[in-house]
This record gives sequence, C-alpha cells and structure tokens, in this order.
Amino acid sequence: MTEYRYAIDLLAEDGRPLGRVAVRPDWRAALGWVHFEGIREGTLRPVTSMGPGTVEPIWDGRAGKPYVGAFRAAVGDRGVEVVREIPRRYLRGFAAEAFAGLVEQGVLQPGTPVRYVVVAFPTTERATAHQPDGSGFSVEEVERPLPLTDAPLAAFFGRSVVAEPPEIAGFMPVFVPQRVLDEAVALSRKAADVETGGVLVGTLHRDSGAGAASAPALFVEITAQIPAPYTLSASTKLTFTADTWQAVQAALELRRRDEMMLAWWHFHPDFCRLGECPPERRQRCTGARPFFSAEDVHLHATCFPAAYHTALLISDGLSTGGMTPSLFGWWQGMVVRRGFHVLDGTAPAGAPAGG
Amino acid sequence: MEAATMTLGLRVSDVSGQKTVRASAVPAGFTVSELVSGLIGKMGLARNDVAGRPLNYQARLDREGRHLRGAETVGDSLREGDEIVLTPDIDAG
Repeated sequence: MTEYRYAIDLLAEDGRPLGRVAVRPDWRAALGWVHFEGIREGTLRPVTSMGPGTVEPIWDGRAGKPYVGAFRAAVGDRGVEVVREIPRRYLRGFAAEAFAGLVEQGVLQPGTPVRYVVVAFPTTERATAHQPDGSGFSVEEVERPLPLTDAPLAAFFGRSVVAEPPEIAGFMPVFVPQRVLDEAVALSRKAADVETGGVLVGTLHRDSGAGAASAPALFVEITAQIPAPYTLSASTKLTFTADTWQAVQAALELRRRDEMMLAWWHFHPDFCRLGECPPERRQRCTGARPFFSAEDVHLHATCFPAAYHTALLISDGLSTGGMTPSLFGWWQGMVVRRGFHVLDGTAPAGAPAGG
Repeated sequence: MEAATMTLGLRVSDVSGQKTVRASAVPAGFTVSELVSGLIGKMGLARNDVAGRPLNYQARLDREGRHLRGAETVGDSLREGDEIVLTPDIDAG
C-alpha cells in the first residue's frame, strides 16, 4: 500500500504558480462516510467503529501525475471492501488557508483571483496516528452495534412532503416532523436578533418493508427538539457549553424513548437587516441565504461526526421570505446542504407528496 | 499499594455517543485535566476552534451526573469501569 503526501499549488488565473503548501488531510470524515455507505448497501456490518481505511489519489485525467483529480477512499471489514470516490474539493479548506497565508506574507493581495490544484507524491513515511504520547494510558475503540429500529419506510414517505431543495438521489432519507420545525421557528422568533438553538433527537431506522432482494434502506426519524439551555448567545454566535450537553442528555434520559442525539439546530438572524444593508444588496448577498459558517461546520464535525448526523438551520432573511428551515449533513465527508422530508406537514406549493 | 502506581479502566464517550473507547491503565494520580487532555488526543477529538484557540472540554461522570473538576484526581473521583462523557464548549456561528 503506497502512502502519499499532498500539497496545494496556488495558481494565478493565467496559470502562473504562486506557491505550494504541504498539507496533511484528515481523512476520517471521508472514511466514516464510506463506512456508512457500506452499511447502507449491506456490505459492511452495522457497527459504530470501522476498520482501517485507505485513501489514494486518482490522477487528473488530463494533467496526469502528480495532479490529483479526486481521491479513492476504501474501508474494509472482514475481507470485504467498500470504495467511494471523494472529490478534490475535500481539500478546499486547505486551499483557502494557503491563500490566506500568502496574503499574510504579502505575496498576494486580498481578493486576488486564484485557483488551486492538488498534487500528490508517493512517500515512504507511514501514518503515525498511534504514536505514544507520554500520557501513560491507552485507549481502544469499543465496537457497538448501530442502534437500528425496524420501521416501514413507505409509511414515512406516505405521510410526508418533500422540503426544498429536493433530496438528492443517494442521500439517506431524513424525516423531520412539522411540529419540530414549528417549535424551532417559534424559538427563533423569540430570540429575534440573537442566535439560538437546540438538539434534535430521534431514531435511526431500518426499512422493515424492504424485499429480500436488497439491503433494507436506512433512514432517520427526528422525533423531538430539545432547546439548548445554558448557551451563550450573540447576533453572530451561539456557544453550546458543557452544561448545555449535560442538560440535553438529562432531558433525553427523562423522555425514556430510546432516542439518540441525531442532529442539532440553530438560528441565523437576518444578518443583512442587523448590518443595515440596503434591500437591493440583500437580494445578492450570500449571507442572506441559508449557509453553514466555518464555525458551524466545525461544531458539526466535532459533536456530530457520524455520517447519519444532520443539522437544521433556521434562517431569517428578506430574500428567502422570512424564516426558512434547511438541513445540512454529511456527503463524501463534507458538510453540504441537503433535502429532507416534513412529516405530517403541509406541502409547499408545487411540491410532490412523499419521496 | 501507593496511589501513584494504581491504575483504573474507564469507558469514555464523545458528546454524541458515536465514539466510545475503553481507556486502560489510567494512573490514579492523574488529575482530571490530565486525563481529559490525554483522551482528546487519543480519541482524535478537536483540540482547537476554527480560530486556533483551545477548546475547553469537561468530563461528565455518568454515575453521579456531574462534571468533574479539573483538579480532582482520578483515584479520588473515579471507580473502575466508570463511564465518562467528554463535552466541549463550542461555538456555532
């Protein structure tokens, strides 16, 4: 198995090289997603931990070595292997950091248009994830079965409507009750000009109505939202504290429904209104549309790292017509906006019922 | 046996419960701060926020339903097989 070291090359618009920065990608999110995809297709056992995975470059079809077009991520378990392609943009955060570094060094001016390529070179260096750290104790991951509950997927489709944007083919269905959305919107209205949020709890289901020919589909049912207490709120920030997590866990235990934390939610106030942007600028402003900030992605990766974890965002904005719910989740190891199904809800104009 | 040479085994989870590890041979003389610092590295949890500032984690002891204080020692506060959950103070933006 060949190991690779990676670097980002920043290029000017005319292709002139501006600088190269060595990077050490963290492949855990990509491999975790591949592992869960293997569970969904019935190839891998439905357990929380995964065996060792590998990532190799797929060379760019035109430029060839050492230019990377995508990555091949593989996860194995008991002699079987699941492989998925991970796009090159998995490393785009490094490209942004490299750009910021060159701006800081005065090599580039802020706003200079640049593009990036990823390069890879074979190395004899081995990954060093488990080097002794001098802490004097060891840890071993505990393998646990994924807590799957059987339920008929068709029945969920039958009593749900599709939220915008429609779910992309291949994504695991997520069902959010209208009641939960209404509660989150009401809490957001109450918070007004500061952020607020909470945790979504529910169940990970396995389709009990699947035929014998295929692996039963997995899907998520959100059952309730637990408002996050002990948070620190500001107009552009919401801090989930250790006390928040403790209170949510206590509420979950009091419910006694074998639910688990499957998602979190938070509210973005109308940043354009707070910033007193002119209405004509708000129509074009990216901050006026649902978005996940770097902090949001970091919180999701730190506290909700499983491929089936999602995040609900309630955004207030003129251009989106008021309070808008949108869902974000993992795809190819990255956090992206995704579709979902509203349980027992009212179909938006033109939206089809069911899945 | 002297406290400094005693060790404990613990079960540790991240905040979502997705990742659980068995920690073996944890020195009883460790403070909770030392234990948490070691666990963050070994469990591959984020050490810093997006601005590079250290994240503050607390260890919640399931048996007592409370957060352990950083200065408490493992030997004084924990028992063999105890379950703790690491919970961060973390920002959404």
